[in-house]
Amino acid sequence: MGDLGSLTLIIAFVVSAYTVVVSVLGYTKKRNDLILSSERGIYTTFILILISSFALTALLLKSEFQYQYIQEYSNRALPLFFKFAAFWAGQAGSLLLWLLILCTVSVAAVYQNRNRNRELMPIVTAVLSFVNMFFITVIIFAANPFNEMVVAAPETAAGFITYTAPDGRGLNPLLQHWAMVIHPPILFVGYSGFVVPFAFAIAALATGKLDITWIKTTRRWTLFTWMFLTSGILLGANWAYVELGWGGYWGWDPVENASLLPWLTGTAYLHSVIIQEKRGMFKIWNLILIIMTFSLCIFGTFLTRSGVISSVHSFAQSPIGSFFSFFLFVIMIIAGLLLLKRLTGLKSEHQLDSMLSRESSFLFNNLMFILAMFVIMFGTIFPLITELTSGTQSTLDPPFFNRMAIPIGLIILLLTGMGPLFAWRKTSVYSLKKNFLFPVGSSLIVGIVLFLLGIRDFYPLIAFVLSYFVFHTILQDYTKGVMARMKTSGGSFLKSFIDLTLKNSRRYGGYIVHAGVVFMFIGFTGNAFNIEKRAELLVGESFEVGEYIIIADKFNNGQEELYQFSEVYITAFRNGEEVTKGYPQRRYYFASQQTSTEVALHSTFKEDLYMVFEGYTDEDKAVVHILIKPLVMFIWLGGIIIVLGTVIALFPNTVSAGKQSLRRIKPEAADAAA
Amino acid sequence: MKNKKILFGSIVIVASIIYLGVTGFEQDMSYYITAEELLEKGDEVYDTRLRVAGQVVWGSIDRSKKPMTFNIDHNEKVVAVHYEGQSPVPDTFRDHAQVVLEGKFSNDRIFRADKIQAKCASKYESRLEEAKIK
Repeated sequence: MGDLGSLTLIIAFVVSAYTVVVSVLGYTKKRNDLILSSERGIYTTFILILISSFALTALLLKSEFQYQYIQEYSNRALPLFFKFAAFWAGQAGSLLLWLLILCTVSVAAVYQNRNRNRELMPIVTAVLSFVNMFFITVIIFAANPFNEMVVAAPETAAGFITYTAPDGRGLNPLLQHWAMVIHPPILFVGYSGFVVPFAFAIAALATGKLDITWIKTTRRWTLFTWMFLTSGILLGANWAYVELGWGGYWGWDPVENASLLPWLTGTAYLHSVIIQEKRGMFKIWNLILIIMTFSLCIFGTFLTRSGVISSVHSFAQSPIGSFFSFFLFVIMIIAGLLLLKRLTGLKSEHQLDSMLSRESSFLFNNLMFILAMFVIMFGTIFPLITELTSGTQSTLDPPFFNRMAIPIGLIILLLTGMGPLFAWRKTSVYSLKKNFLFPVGSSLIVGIVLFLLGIRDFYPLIAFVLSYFVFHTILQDYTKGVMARMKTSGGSFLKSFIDLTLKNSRRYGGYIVHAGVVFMFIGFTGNAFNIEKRAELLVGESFEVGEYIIIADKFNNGQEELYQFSEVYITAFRNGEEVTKGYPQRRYYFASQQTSTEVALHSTFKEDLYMVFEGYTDEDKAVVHILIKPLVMFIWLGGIIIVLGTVIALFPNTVSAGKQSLRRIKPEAADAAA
Repeated sequence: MKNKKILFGSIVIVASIIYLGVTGFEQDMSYYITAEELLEKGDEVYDTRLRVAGQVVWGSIDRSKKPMTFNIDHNEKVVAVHYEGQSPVPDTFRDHAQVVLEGKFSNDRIFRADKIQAKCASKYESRLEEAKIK
């Protein structure tokens, strides 16, 4: 099985190299047979990688521990589900999964365009296959999951003996959690999907077909990918929250930042392409953004896997870092040269007419996303910069990131509310008053009420007021649309609501995404009100945290197949009433010889009660750490709403794009005339 | 004309956010050195807040003492550590773990740490090294 896996990888390498060459030849010589052959090359590569992946899955399910990868990441006693998930528990398997997803995406893109965009497709095929080829190379030469165990000579120094684990060392207990099982595949879709708009952008540059086609063709791809990247990041955050036991969901670790960087440029791109579609502006900028987004996906991998940055959860240093940096260099050079060559063909069709226009609000939106990207990138590679300048590494701590990200985030939130209220080109004073008076006025009232209720810190107060403001503007615009529709069609509110959303799914899907963003901001703001306390308890003892009284009812020890555990039975009371019981555990996993913390969590919209058992003291008291984390649920809820909104935005519009842009300008013009 | 206004607005926003970042920049920065570098620097870094990286020396963890003591090494240079922090040590902290300690180096050449981060080495690292047991 292992041989089959290795063999298919090598054949896939040859096929993808062939595909690159033939597609470029097909383009330059205008030979359809070659182009067709190159597209078949994409399909063939996919089938080969699929076989290779099946081979690895088979090795995992059959527990073939003579393979190093299986030995390290699986275990005989592991439940079937986790044996399967061990596929992407290590570096080599993750890369294979990433490659499999890349190949799938490539096949889908080629198949979707088999009769369309024929001028662009040869170059698109070449780019896709080039990226596939790169990943195959890395897997074959630097991270092959099909390597068999090399039995090292017994270690004689210091009295060590070689430990053999015939049943495998097992999946890291921290990764034995549903969110961590689906997190990597989802994140990889979120990275890989950007290869399609990237390939089309390169094809547009190479062929000189720089009109709106490449953007229109890849709009859904970008949205789809963005949805996965967003969910991937959030799942990672959720996993960190429930599994790591420190009570946070984001620590500004290089690994986390690496996934956020392409998300920021990708989000900027999603917004700025709208300007190009509607107004023919920002053409060069959009190309740069998508090239940047794809490059940042590669850069993130380089950063976290090369060992250049020390991080608590960075992956081991490995040779794949140099592969990725070389690949990044090649992408940047090719894209840069093509961009320079086509610069003159990318003149903007319009100029910005006014500061108070939809266009300029998009411009500021982009500015903030890019600023956020640079700030986070700077903070992340700061150890590298200081090492170059002073010889020692210095790191920037989370307070730096928070201090920078909070104001940027709040400005983005403000723009989320304002942008959609501005008209294209120029907003009249009349429509400004009409659209803003009510939301701004009621936001001020909300602000005053919150202030009186005791929320007096600057950032939390601003964050809540802005959240309200954005929510208000969304509701206002939405209900306006629904009411108008009810009048014309005579349908019920719900029917008009659904019709309207589907009729212009892009616009209203966007609004729903924005509503999700508001929820997330509310959740983030909850952080300002965290309470935590730690106590050492004997059975029957209690302590007070915030409004809660925590009692340790019982200590218990036990054993499961994979681990042994000790746990504390906790009852939490508030105002004399029982709120919940929790059973936080500490586990010791036999195969990996690791301890792990199992948090007990009681979630409500108001707050999460987060209970951690941190072990026994020398006097056999249980160390119990309780955190009260307000509004965290809003983050996860916001995430679900964002995904829902994106799905709606992916629906085909029932109104054609041309009509729609006319419609959007018209009502504002009517306002101005009135 | 309009473009100038927008440019001006952009510069103001970017500048004020960068200003936010620059103020207090020093506090957010901590030196990150290895156990070996710590011993080389010695006198220079007494009482400076540092992050020190190293590997826990096999069998050096003594949990019976208060504070808990252990040694870390990097390129065979060993630093003695007293852990004086409030929170319990992380799950991943054990013999041979890669750790990053936060704290200060004192005149008695003991590193007094108040925070321990242990790398989730297992996640993506070849653990053949760790497979050796005593």
